[in-house]
Amino acid sequence: MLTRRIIPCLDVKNGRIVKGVQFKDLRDAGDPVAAAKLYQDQGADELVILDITATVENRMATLSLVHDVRQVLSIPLTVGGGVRSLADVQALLNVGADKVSLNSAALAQPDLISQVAKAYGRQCTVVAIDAKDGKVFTRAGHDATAWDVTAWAKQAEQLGAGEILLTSMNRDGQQSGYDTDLLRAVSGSVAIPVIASGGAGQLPDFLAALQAGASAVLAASLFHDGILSIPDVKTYLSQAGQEVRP
Amino acid sequence: MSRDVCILSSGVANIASMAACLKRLGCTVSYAETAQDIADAPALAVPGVGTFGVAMQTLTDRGWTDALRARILSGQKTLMICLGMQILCAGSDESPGVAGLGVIDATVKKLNAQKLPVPQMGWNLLSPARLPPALSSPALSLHEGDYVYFANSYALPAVGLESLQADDGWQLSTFAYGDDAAYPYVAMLRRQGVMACQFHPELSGKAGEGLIQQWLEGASC
Repeated sequence: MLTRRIIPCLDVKNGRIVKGVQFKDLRDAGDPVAAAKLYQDQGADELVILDITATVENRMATLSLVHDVRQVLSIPLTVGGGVRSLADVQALLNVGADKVSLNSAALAQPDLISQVAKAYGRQCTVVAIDAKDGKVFTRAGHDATAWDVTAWAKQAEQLGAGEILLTSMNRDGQQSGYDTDLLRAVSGSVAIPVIASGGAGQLPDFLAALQAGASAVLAASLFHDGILSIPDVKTYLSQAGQEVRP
Repeated sequence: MSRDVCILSSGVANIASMAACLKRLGCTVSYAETAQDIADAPALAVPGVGTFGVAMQTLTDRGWTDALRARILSGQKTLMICLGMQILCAGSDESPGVAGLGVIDATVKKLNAQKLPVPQMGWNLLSPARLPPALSSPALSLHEGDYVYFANSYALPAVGLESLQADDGWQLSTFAYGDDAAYPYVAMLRRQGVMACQFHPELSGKAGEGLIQQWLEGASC
């Protein structure tokens, strides 16, 4: 039986982990390589690194960081943030990413999803969606688009996405629970796996996200701040009857 | 025991993950550039992502198909991963009309996932126990209960492959996807120095590293 995945997320800027509340008020939360190793040892099923600023200078820092993380990491690694072209995808795979997350560039040129899926396979192609009040936002949550979240998720799937990383901006950093209505709507309209992101605060939140149709649950500050650990979450889910990797 | 591993790069695989894994296990990594490299490598790793048709086209364009098939048939130490395992077969529903290496006389099929998402993305159980008795293999019971990482939409159905083990000497282990455990797929095939995995041992934590270690230490012919 396929297990439910627990995925810690490292939001990075200039080679350090940062985590904001509702995408603002960034604060430093540590060394990514040390955090990656710790989460792996604790039983993380995958790791996500999101380069949240993704300027040109920062891109080089990210490539170097992904390389360093890969050397210690023996679980899957998804990297996103500012990925605009096939060349960007290749550069990330070359240094150790297994999957690449597309967001703003996919909204600006949806064909990029098809190109990446065709070249590297659907399993490599993650489409990240930042959702607020039912609409898709772009450019790290700065700008609203006309896309309805479920419509865009379906479109992404049709173009070749192998997975949707669905972040609720309303819940991001709030620790008030995942947006289960949003998860239910999106996972009910696509056949590809949906990763729940934004809002995890307590153990029952993880269960609620899975019951709403998420295949995997992602959290950042909750783990970075040590409020809950990955073993806490796995033990809870296992006792609640969910299959998790021991 | 050789610690020199040559990686066959198709240009579109996550070879950095493979290389990092091998380096953690103390290997020296090189990359195949010619058919001769593929024939001569003491150990060859074939990571595979992309589609069946593109992978076979790449091998054909580079003139590597015969060297790779010969190496597998002779039992030389070869690790085939994900799509790398699938191309051992005669063909795949993913790319109708494209011939695979044909080492395994069977066709790769789309996962019959019922209501589960496709691709299968995540950690699933390696389970020799789910095999029909004729296919179960004591040598693989070692790995019963190991979770390994899969990322695939297609797989090789295990049912009907009894002769692979009985006549052709392959050891099989399986995985199940969906509620129907009676419908297993091939997770791993091993014969002599060849280990072919539908899952990604290089991304499967300690369980995966243990398998690669065994492959490295195992006999080659």
